[in-house]
Amino acid sequence: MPLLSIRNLSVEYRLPDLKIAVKALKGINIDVNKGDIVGIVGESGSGKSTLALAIMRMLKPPAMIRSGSIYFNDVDLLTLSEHEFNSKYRWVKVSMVPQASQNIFNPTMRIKDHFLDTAKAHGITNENEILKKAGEILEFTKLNPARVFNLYPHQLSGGMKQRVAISLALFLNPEVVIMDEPTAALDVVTQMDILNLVKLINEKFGTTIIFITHDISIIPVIASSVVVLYNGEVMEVGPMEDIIVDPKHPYTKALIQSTPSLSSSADEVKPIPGEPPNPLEDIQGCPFWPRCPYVMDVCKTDKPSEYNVNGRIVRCYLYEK
Amino acid sequence: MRSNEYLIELKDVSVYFTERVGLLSKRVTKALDHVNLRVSDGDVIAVVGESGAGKTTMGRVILGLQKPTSGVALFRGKDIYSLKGRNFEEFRREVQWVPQDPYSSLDPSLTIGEQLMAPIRRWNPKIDASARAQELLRLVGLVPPSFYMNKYPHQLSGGQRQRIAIARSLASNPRLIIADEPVTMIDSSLRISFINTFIDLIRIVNLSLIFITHDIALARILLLKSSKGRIVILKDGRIVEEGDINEIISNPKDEYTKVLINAAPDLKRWLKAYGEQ
Ligand SMILES: Nc1ncnc2c1ncn2[C@@H]1O[C@H](COP(=O)(O)OP(=O)(O)OP(=O)(O)O)[C@@H](O)[C@H]1O
Ligand SMILES: Nc1ncnc2c1ncn2[C@@H]1O[C@H](COP(=O)(O)OP(=O)(O)OP(=O)(O)O)[C@@H](O)[C@H]1O
Ligand code: SF4
Ligand SMILES: [Mg+2]
Ligand SMILES: [Mg+2]
Repeated sequence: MPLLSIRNLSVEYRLPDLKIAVKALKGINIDVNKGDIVGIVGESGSGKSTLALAIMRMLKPPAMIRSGSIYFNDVDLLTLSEHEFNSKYRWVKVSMVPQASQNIFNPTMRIKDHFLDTAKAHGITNENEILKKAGEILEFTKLNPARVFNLYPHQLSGGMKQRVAISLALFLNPEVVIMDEPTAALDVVTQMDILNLVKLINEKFGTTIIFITHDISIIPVIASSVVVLYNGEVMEVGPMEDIIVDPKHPYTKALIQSTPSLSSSADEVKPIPGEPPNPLEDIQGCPFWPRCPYVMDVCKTDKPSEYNVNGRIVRCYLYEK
Repeated sequence: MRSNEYLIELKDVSVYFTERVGLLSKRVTKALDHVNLRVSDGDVIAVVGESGAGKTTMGRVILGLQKPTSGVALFRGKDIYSLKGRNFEEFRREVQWVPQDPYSSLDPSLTIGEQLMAPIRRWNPKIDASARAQELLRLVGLVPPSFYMNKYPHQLSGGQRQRIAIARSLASNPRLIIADEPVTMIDSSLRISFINTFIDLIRIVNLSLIFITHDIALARILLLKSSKGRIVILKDGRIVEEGDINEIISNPKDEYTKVLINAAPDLKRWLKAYGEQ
């Protein structure tokens, strides 16, 4: 049984001025197994951060969950009271490193107080115990707690802030940590350090990781399985090696084709043809059809279901049986 | 070549920051340490280096935002920090930038349309600012433009904000854009589209580009596509290597360059290693 199971989740952002809604997630299903590092890839605006915030129950109006369930073991997190969720789940069992986490810090608070505040918000009050745990995890991320505790956020480099943000997500020993683009702002050397750190955390503590990125080239370095999102829908799910070596879905193929390597020729790297989807438009049929080189008539009218291809889920009519 | 033939020239530029540490001692950071750089019309320069290497500081010196501690920064042969009147206006119009962080660089109280139309009105009072703003939005892949015009930054995803910052840098029809990590939140397909957009502008209006990035593979594609491209590798405020990117990748002279290349994620390299297993 998966540790975390997302069923038919739909989220909208309502725009009252336009009397319309942006459908950010459209009935997605994702299963996360204990101990996995699940890479979630998708282009800008595909709904990755919305998914993270939905799991954390941190979506704010005008966002609205239209349908679906998020099961943690057997409990549907969406049915719990805010009090119950906050005291038993948020940060305690499921935590997050938010996107652009360099900006999450309160500039007037020392790093130490960020840990104290977070713990207290979730009902933990013993300061010595909190700082002991925080110190351990900071050390694990190769920061010196004695020094870092007393610094203000602006006194840390980007890579240091990222380590602190990861420590903040980890110090209450959660079972699942969602990391939203944790290395996007870092240089490649620091990025590699952070990726290795995340793998070490996963191995040492058995922490399940949901790793969100738009950059498929780091997926082989970090993930054990992959979920490919496009325009608020899941396109392909499978083990990392399968997806990188032999992508099935035309969108996954195109994404890999557009990613340069150090040895790529200028012509072999190609952007995906056509324009990114309009957030307001409800595309009939397969969401990728306006840009798909394999499009068939049926793709324009009907939505493909989830086809099982050798243990992989592919949402594309090319794999209909 | 006479120095006023360069669009930008940095001559022996250093920038030192002095911080007080405790009561009596001071710490000096050499953000730039004797840097020389020449940028001609149509040049494409990829700047790569670890966090804290001085990349943003170099950009800020060229933009007229960070006066060098020593050395001079020239715009068409004139000291940027003593430009006045018409020369200064021309400099402000011609040299634009895409700031590093799209979360703090966009004004949260203004709609996207307002943020784009202000520079258009300032530099091109005669044209239809709204139409031009929508054209820029389309250019950065934000369609339909009318939808984004009345949105506020917090209503957009990280990558969408970054695209707004790129659109805004184009509003004055500049001659040089300093793009500081402009694509960190953008997927590879859009990154390549931007590279193609920049390459078109370089061909059409002879734009020059200083592209600060940590994506070496992307920098390489940009440079391969431009006829006048080179890479600059910064470390601890110094330029440790400068030249043809393929040359430097296949034969890195500096130890640090080797570390950078090995740490760069690379699908082809991974696939090859996987196949050999
Ligand atoms: N507060 C908001 N109001 C209106 N629309 C929003 C809001 N937040 C997000 N959206 C829209 O919802 C869609 C999904 O956004 P989300 O932030 O989840 O994307 P993402 O995949 O995380 O993108 P990125 O990689 O750029 O961070 C986008 O079209 C975005 O514009
Ligand atoms: N205003 C300032 N006061 C003090 N030190 C500064 C200031 N601005 C930059 N520095 C220091 O100068 C050095 C170079 O900083 P810079 O921002 O140019 O680096 P960067 O290469 O752009 O790094 P990143 O990849 O993290 O953006 C760093 O050590 C930084 O801490
Ligand atoms: S369902 Fe059709 S349009 Fe969609 S990805 Fe498959 S072939 Fe392309
Ligand atoms: Mg996001
Ligand atoms: Mg910088």
